Amino acid sequence: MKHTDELTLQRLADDELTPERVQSARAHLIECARCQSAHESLKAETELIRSSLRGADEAIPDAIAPRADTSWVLIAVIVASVLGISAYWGQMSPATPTDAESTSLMTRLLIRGVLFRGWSTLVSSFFTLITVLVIVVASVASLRWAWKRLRSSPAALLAGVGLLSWTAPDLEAAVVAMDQTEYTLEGSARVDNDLLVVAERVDIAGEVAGDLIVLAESLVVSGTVSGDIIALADSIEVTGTGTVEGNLRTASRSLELEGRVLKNVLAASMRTRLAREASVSGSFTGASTQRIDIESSIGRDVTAAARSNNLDGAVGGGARWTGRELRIGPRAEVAGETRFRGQEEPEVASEAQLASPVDFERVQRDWKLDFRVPPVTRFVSLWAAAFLFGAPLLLLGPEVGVAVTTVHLPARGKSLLVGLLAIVTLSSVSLIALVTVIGLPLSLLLLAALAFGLYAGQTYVGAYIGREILGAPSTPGERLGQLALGLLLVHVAGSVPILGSLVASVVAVFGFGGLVSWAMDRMAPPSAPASAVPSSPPLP
Amino acid sequence: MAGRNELDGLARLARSGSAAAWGKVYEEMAPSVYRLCQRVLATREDAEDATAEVFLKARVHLPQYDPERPFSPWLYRIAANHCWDELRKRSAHHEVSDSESTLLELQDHSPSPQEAVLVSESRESLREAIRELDDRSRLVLSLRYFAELSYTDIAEVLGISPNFVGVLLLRARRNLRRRLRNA
Repeated sequence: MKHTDELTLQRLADDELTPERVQSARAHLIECARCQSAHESLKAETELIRSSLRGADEAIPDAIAPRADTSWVLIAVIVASVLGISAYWGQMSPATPTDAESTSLMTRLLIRGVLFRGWSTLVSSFFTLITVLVIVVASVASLRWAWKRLRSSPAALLAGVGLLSWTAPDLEAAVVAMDQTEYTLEGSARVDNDLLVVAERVDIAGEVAGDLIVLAESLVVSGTVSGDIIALADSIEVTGTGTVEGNLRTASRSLELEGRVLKNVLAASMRTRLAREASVSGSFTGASTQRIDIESSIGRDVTAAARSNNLDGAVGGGARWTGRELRIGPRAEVAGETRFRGQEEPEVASEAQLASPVDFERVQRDWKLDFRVPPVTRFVSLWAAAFLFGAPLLLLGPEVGVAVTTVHLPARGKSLLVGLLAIVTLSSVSLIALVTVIGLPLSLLLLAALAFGLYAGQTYVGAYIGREILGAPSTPGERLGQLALGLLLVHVAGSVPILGSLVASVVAVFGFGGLVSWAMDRMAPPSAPASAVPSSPPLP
Repeated sequence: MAGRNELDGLARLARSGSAAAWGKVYEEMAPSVYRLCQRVLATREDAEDATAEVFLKARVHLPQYDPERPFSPWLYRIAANHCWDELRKRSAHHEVSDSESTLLELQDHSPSPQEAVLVSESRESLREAIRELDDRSRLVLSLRYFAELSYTDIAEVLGISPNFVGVLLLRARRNLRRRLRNA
């Protein structure tokens, strides 16, 4: 019998034989004990050579060893600045008693922060001074880091434009009043333009030729506004002498209308009341968590949803109601048809003049806007929602997922800084866009992108945490399993009473930062030098 | 440590222009490339320089990387080419007299079970013996058993036939056995 030569045995062990020769060699090995033994020895020898070559006989030089990816100093600075910023914004706008318990850090950062009332109150305490210093240090650190990447990318251009428009807000389109506790437009005064006001109390007794945009705690309009009113406030009141020639669009806790609106009213509130002396020439569309009272005349249709709906005025069009109850008083008149989807039989006064009887459809469930669910259900549904949102995100954009979870998020400090920076930049830019009025769609788009990014952030943080625990995923199934686990941990941490909201905010900022880093990385020109490669001597 | 799929994903990202992904590829692969260079080249400094140059070359040639194929063999081939160039540059006494006729000499030899004596050797003494081998044997052994390149890949780097790679490997083994038996 001819034995298999050593070269063939080596090629067999190295997996370098053609399939036919593998077959014949193996057939021979089964029959021949000597060759079988030689084959085993050769394989053992190969493994010995392999492990000997792989073994670490001396340390990898520092220039080449992977750098530690956690800078604890940086993390400490981030944590300090997050705490600092929250304290800082907290100082700027003390929460109103009504919503003190529901103001989260994010709300403060994004909305309540714009109610800043000036530096004089800020420097009055030593603690705030320290926090400001921390913020300055953090900003300098993040700018230093961002400089390298920013200077050659389109992001630099964008940031430059943003900075320029921030430092020189010469607004042609609107008159702006900010940083005031109280803003009053006197009865004799007139603004020939759009007016944007951010203050705690706003009183408009004079005349505004354009639109009036208000962010405030209370707004009282007793003058004339030729354009629309767009207002976000705790309470909004248009008095008997007030006239709005455009639309009235509001979101508030209470809306009280006694004056005239020549176009439509759109209102989201807890309580809305249109008094008897008021008049709306267009339609009324409203949603309230408690009640809507309409005693005024409405030129066109009424569409309303509230727990308690009350009509005691004249409606020029049809009226559609949704809610628990509907009461129609003796002074009510409805020219079109009246429909009610609700829980209780509508009460209709016999004097009421309706073009047709109320078309009533009973709905079984308890109709509430402030739905309360058991904590466990709430927890599970929030977790499931985050997973259902994240799963397609990870599966449809696997490259983004890999990049964010393996490249950007492991640089934890960077991601947090970038996240904070991006939130501040995006919200500032969108505020600027809002102020210029023509930029309103852009502003809404930016805010939507910000909201999407913050929510999407937790997906990547979840995937990252899962990966840190279970190791690199190799199948989509593993990826999703890790996402579910990571999100579960994030949500468990987020449901801790006091620290929870902070954790949730940090997760959102962190994940968003990873996403933004990825986007910035994509925008960097491909010809950029390999920054990670250590400097090497010139080629001989 | 990123898995194999992840490394390929990172390389694809780097190829499409991501500087951060390239940084990550460097972090993942630099120690291995350094080890390979260290096995083949003489000194630590040479290995460090070679690693840096390999990554510079890889960065430049990244557009030529075929994203459908695994990344590490591609990178190791660049490293192998670089090390081979370095070795040829510095060694004048480099033996080129081999011909493929050695094939016959080796093929005739049928093994005895006792011949594979290396099983009982310590890894340190084996590593020492490998260091004393000639340049080409060291390179071929490292490329096959450290970088896990195929005979074809190694053959392309050295400009020889894949069959001859097997011959070189076997000769290197026998060299090692002889050295260790005499030691």
